[in-house]
Amino acid sequence: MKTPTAAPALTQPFPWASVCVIAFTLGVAAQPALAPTLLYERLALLRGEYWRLWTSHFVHFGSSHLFWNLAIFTVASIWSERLAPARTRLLLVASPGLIGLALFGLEPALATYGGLSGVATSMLVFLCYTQLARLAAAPATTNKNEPMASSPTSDRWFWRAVLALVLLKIGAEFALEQPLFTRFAPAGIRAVPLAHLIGVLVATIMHRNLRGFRPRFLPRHTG
Amino acid sequence: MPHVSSSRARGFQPAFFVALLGAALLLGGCLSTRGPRKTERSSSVVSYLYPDQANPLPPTSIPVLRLPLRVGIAFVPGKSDISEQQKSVLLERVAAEFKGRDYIQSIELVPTTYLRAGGGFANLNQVRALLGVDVIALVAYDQVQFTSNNLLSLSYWTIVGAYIFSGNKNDTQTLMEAAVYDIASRHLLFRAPGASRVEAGAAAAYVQQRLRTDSTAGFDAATTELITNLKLQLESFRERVKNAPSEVRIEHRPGYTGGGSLGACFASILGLLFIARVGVRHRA
Repeated sequence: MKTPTAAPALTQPFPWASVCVIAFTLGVAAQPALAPTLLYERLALLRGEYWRLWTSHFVHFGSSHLFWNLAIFTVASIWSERLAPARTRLLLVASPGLIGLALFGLEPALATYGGLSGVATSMLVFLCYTQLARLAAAPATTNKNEPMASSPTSDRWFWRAVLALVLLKIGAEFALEQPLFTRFAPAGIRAVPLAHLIGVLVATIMHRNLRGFRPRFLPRHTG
Repeated sequence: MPHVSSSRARGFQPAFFVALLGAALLLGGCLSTRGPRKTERSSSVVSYLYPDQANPLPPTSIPVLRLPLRVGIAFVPGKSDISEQQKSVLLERVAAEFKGRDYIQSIELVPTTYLRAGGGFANLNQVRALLGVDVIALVAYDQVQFTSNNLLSLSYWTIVGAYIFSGNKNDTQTLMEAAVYDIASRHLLFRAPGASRVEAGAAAAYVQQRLRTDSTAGFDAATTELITNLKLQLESFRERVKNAPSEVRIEHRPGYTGGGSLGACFASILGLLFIARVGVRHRA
């Protein structure tokens, strides 16, 4: 019987896409004059300013709004990008636009929108799926030097709990018609659970349908 | 040759000086012997809203506020009014403090000509229809000015003293109150007062001018305090709405502003889950 040799430590790619998104979000926060040009404005979209579908997610309505959205996004996105870089980068490009498009089509009363939470939810859910998939594919016993060693099977409950928490939050926000865990500093701004729901759906579709997605220019061991 | 000094001496007329002294005494007496005088100007929210009702019935329906709000702000018509220009300046100061808030769509300064004395909610409904406001802040005032004399007023006997010495003491006490009503439900949402006291001395000849200046200064100072209290009451009202949603219903107009937010609580729960995960892994 062959004794398993210690596998070389897997080099995890630098999460440059996540870092770019974080830097862009902070840049927008540092330059409030940009906000009117980047926010989701239904009337402006009808005039043909389609970039707002994508850029609105990077505009925030206050420092607390920015901080918590960015905190969750940073952890989820960087972790995801290190585990599945290609799909995470695709998700980072696709989810803001798809969420914006869905809000435009499904929420005609929404005049103005901003905030990274839809994308952050998408990244968080995608991270959960990715981790659960890795755990499902992992052998029962793992070597500490193998990549799977960082996520033992006992972690399954954690990722399921995170998924459940996200879904519970969205469901409660829809049912109560008010934000469950958050209050905006400027009153008069409503939470939009639809953005979170679309984020979950985008992440689900991305995970289910693009499991083998790997652009040719990426090395084989990534994504 | 006649002596010049003797001709001057001949011109001296004691009767003239007696008459002059008498006039000074009379004038001085007029200026100094009057007791404290009082001027009052006021308006009342109750008199405006419930002119002929001794026991007005409380509103029964729950106020529904549709955000963002369209707010009107007006002085309640009073008996002895201050000038329209002065009112406008004061209202603009109040309005400026509340413009730019996300839950306020617009603030309309309602001219007094739109309100009639004792107009009540019928009048407010007309304003609502005309200007499209949902909520109105009614500003009422009560200003009393007292003028009394002090020891320096004795100098008024000399006539010149009435122009030089501040023998009058003016005391101007101003109370302003803003009562914010939801017009549709007739509910008083919240109220805030502002008060001031201005004391100044003036010479008899300038008493009226000084009183006008004090009146303006009194309104200015009371408005400053009113704005401060109004901000506090607004925050308190917001907390009340959050904690007791049955008192006031908040709705959003079509075309609302939405934000995607996960919030501190959600992040904290995630953090706790993560700590639990680390703990479980550590034990395993």
